[in-house]
Amino acid sequence: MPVEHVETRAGSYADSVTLMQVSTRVTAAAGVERAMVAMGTALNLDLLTGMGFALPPGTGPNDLVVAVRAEDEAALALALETVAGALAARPVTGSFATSPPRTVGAALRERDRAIALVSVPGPHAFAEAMDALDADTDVMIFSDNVPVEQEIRLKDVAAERGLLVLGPDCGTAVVAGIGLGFSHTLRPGPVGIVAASGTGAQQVLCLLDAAGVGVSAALGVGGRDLSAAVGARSTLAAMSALDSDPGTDLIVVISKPPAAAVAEAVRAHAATLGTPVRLALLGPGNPDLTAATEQVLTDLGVAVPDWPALPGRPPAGDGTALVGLFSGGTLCDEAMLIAADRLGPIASNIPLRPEDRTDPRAPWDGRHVMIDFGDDELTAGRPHPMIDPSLRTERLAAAGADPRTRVVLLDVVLGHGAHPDPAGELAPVIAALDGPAVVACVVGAERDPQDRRAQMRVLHEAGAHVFTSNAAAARYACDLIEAR
Amino acid sequence: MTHLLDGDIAVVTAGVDLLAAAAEAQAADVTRVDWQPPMAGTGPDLVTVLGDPRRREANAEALRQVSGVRAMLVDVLPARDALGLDERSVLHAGPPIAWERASGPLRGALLGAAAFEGVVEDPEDAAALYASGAISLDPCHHHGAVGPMAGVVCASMWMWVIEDPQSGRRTYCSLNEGLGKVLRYGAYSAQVLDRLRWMSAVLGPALQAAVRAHGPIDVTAILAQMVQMGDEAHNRNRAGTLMLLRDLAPALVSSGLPPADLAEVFAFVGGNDHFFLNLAMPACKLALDAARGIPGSTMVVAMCRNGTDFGVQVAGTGDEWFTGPALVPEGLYLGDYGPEDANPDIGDSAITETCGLGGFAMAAAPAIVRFVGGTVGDALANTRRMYEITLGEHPAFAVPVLDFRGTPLGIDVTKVVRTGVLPQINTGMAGKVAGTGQVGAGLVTPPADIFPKALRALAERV
Amino acid sequence: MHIRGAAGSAVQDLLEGPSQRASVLGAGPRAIYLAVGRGTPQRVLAILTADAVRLPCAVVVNAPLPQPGPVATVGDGAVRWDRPACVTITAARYWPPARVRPAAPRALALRAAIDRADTGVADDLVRALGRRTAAAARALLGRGPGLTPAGDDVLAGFLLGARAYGLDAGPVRATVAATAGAATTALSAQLLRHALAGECVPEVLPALERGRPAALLRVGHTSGAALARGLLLAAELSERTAAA
Repeated sequence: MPVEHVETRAGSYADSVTLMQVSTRVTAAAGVERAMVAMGTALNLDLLTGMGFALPPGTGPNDLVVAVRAEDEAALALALETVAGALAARPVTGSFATSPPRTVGAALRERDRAIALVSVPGPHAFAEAMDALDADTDVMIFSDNVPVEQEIRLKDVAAERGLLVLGPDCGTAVVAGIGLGFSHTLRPGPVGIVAASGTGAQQVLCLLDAAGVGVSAALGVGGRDLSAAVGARSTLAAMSALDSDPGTDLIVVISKPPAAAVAEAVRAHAATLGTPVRLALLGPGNPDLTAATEQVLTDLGVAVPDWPALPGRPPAGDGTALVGLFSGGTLCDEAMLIAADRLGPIASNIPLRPEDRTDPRAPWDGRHVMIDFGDDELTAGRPHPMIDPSLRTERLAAAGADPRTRVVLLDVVLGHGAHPDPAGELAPVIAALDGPAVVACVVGAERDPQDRRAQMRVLHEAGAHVFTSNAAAARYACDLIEAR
Repeated sequence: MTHLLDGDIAVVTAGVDLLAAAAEAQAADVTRVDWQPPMAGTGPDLVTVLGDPRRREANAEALRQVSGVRAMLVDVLPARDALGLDERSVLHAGPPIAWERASGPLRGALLGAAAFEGVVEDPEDAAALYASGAISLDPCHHHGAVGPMAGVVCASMWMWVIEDPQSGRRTYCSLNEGLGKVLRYGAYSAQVLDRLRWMSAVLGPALQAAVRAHGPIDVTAILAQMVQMGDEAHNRNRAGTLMLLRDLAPALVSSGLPPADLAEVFAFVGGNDHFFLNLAMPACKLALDAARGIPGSTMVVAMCRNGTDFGVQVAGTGDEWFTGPALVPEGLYLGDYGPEDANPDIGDSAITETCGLGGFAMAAAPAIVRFVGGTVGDALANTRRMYEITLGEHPAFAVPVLDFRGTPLGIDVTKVVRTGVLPQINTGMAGKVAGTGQVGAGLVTPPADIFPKALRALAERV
Repeated sequence: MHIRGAAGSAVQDLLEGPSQRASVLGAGPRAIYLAVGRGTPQRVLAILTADAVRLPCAVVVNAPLPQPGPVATVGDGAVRWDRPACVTITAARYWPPARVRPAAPRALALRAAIDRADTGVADDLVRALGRRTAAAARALLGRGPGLTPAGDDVLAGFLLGARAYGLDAGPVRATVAATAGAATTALSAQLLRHALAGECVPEVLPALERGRPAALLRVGHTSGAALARGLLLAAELSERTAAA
């Protein structure tokens, strides 16, 4: 007789990745049918309801929800013990031991020359980031869902103190050779990167890596930095910092489509610097990220290599639509720019034009569509899809089974912070498809923990067409649509 | 200036542990913050207050002001002369309160004070006078004074006078009566009143003569030495008391007092390990008052309790009190007393914690940890935890066992709200029935909800 | 035992190049210095704990240092030794060294802050370096005890300051470049080569750019103070040059 247990615990916060790991462990326990341990954000409450759990009224984002359906009481008891054990994994300290600091400010009291990496839930990021600035320390804000006025305030304070605020929603940075957030281990080199786009930066970094070129630093500035409201505050500051760095010979600025006036301000600032600046500002008529990287290589006098790729299975059936399922917003943008040119309007949750907006959770109407699973509304209280690919994997299975689909386009991002084996997660689903073709771009560097070559091979063996250039992958996907 | 291009760099992480682990896997020097969400409902106010452009400099200034004060003992005077009190005006500990809501020990002390002043013959008769307002009540803090436990001050009591030589500001505190059945714990028997009369007749004038003959005594310097001698200046003042006695002894001996009186004074002071508390407290208040009224500062300048309410005042919010119900301390009980006998937290003595002493300096006073029910490890952990909620470290109060690190100084309202870590106070416990006296000693915190209230007021002033 | 460290990019070629024999120049609780190969000049690689001062030629490890063996090898991706225990140290990443950037001299602030600091070198020798002659440089090279003689620290500070403030260091540069290898210890010569390239310990930067040498003065016994003294000399000269 199956039993169900739903419990909310006020005031016991844990981060979403930890909770995902706890959920995974509990779900894997013997006799457990379904389980989810998560903070009660709207998105998670939806998921829990969708899993058939009845939630107590008034459950909110500060409540920890433990929901388990098990085959009997004994299995449930075991599952709850697993939850308790997993959540108590925080190290116990003896009475003479020092406890870990509770705020960024406390941690920085005993630290010189540090960077603060803040990934607490967005509404709480401001306090931790301000702690860093108060301690004359640069800060990277990985958190998303930070209000724009808070971003502006932080960046203004940083400017007064000569500091840099990377983010909010900064997914990627490389500082002192450390890949922070979703990032890569890269060789040291002459290119300094300023990126308002995490996955855009990752694509450029990995292509440079494939060409044997290293970086002095990659400074993410957050997806909104080049908006009219934020006005490139961090971009301009980061460009100046790289300009004064004797180790940086060339600055590359990478962004999603920026506000026109802001793009102009960036160009004007670049003209004042002693270090040459290459702008890779994605937009209609501008070069894609691969083309921009090739220009950088040419600037440096480095030969442009053939970007690694492996062939896959052609599409079958009568489907006509292109379905892009992305974990990287900029990769999604770049693919849309390329596909819109060739195939016409692309529906999306981050559309190129407002009229192409679609709700990513509504039933699909059969149009060409590209979804960014890393967008704020799909990540509230959940790990990023690069860490927890389950939402996207479900969508891949659904799109693959839908006869209207001709090609599924994916990005597979490797590196630090990302899932340890994303290809392994995707491959069985891809291999099970019998209609649509799968085109995947693997974004990864030579020294990444996942082993880029092996990941490419796994996808290839599952039948996917595998690229390392997202632009090349998007073009190939369009070829497959048009070839029908 | 940015450090991102200055070579290798350490990483401090708050949030997703995966990201800390990823940095560690790249041989980065990583410090993890054990982050928890702030107290419920405080998010917007935190953003407003932390975003206040005045805050950083205001708090730095508050800290400079507090640590810059030298508290000098300059005189001993009757409260009538020091504070301008008459027999119909009485001061008490904690935030403002009227007779109706006053707790047992405060009522007991007030009744005793009225009898001590001679306003009534039978202490019980004073209740009506307090209830009607015929005798006025006002917090010590409103008069530059502080009082331990009930903190009751009336015109005939003698007061220590502490002065900041730079500004000429003064603070005051009564003389300590000792332990057990004493007025400040709410006892008002004839024996209690007799002792008070002796203190006014003999002790006060003797100390006045001695202080005037000796000249100003640096109380801050004694506090700094105490912290290195096992005192935390709230529940343990043994070293401080003896140092004071050492300083005053020559002047006392040569004051011309009859030898019998002298012997009594020495026996009384030397026999009361808490005697110096009443100097530590006004010295702390003198320092903290220097930070009052700094716009934008989130530093707590007073914590106190009246046996019913716990109140705090903050540098950036003027004289406004933020109050909530005082909690009952946890600790050890004298004799047969138990938790059911204890009154909620009472007294102005939490001014010591506010200034980086008492519970904040527990690591310096391992000898008392068992008295308040704990271990030496707990004492170290207590002090270390308080660094989480303070703005800085006291430059003069150095804790030997922490490698002479200064005690945690300057409670920051925003840090309390963010971490949920509450100031740790060492305290005595009064019996809840008027007339009982002391029933124990232990540890207590303020009620958590007063800090969000203070934060809200700070936010409204941005 | 395998330790993954973070290496300065200056030693990338040593670590990833062919294996070479290395000998221990010195070892302490926070540092092991290895002389690598038999080339001229002699290359030095330092293995440091995370709380040690970041020399540009270091591999930094977040663990207690293992006991060094009498014989080690550097290259083929690692530092290795087999005795007294098997140790392999690899680089999980490379960090760029702290490098001096163009800056305005702040002699006044520097002078006030380092006024009383003991530099370990007679001040007349330092003042003589102000004439920027080869002889003055030679008088300081290798002067003082230890692995990094204080005279070399003064020279390094002066070279770093001269680069940042745009001051012509005259024959001092050439003299150091030509003779350091023979005139001083291998480690000190290595650090002077870094200084010639504008590479330094990060504590130099706040002193050099903002006149705040507090962190620099805490480096070593007198090393930081000697570096700061060299910086101050460069700052004073360049201010005088600008005024004239």
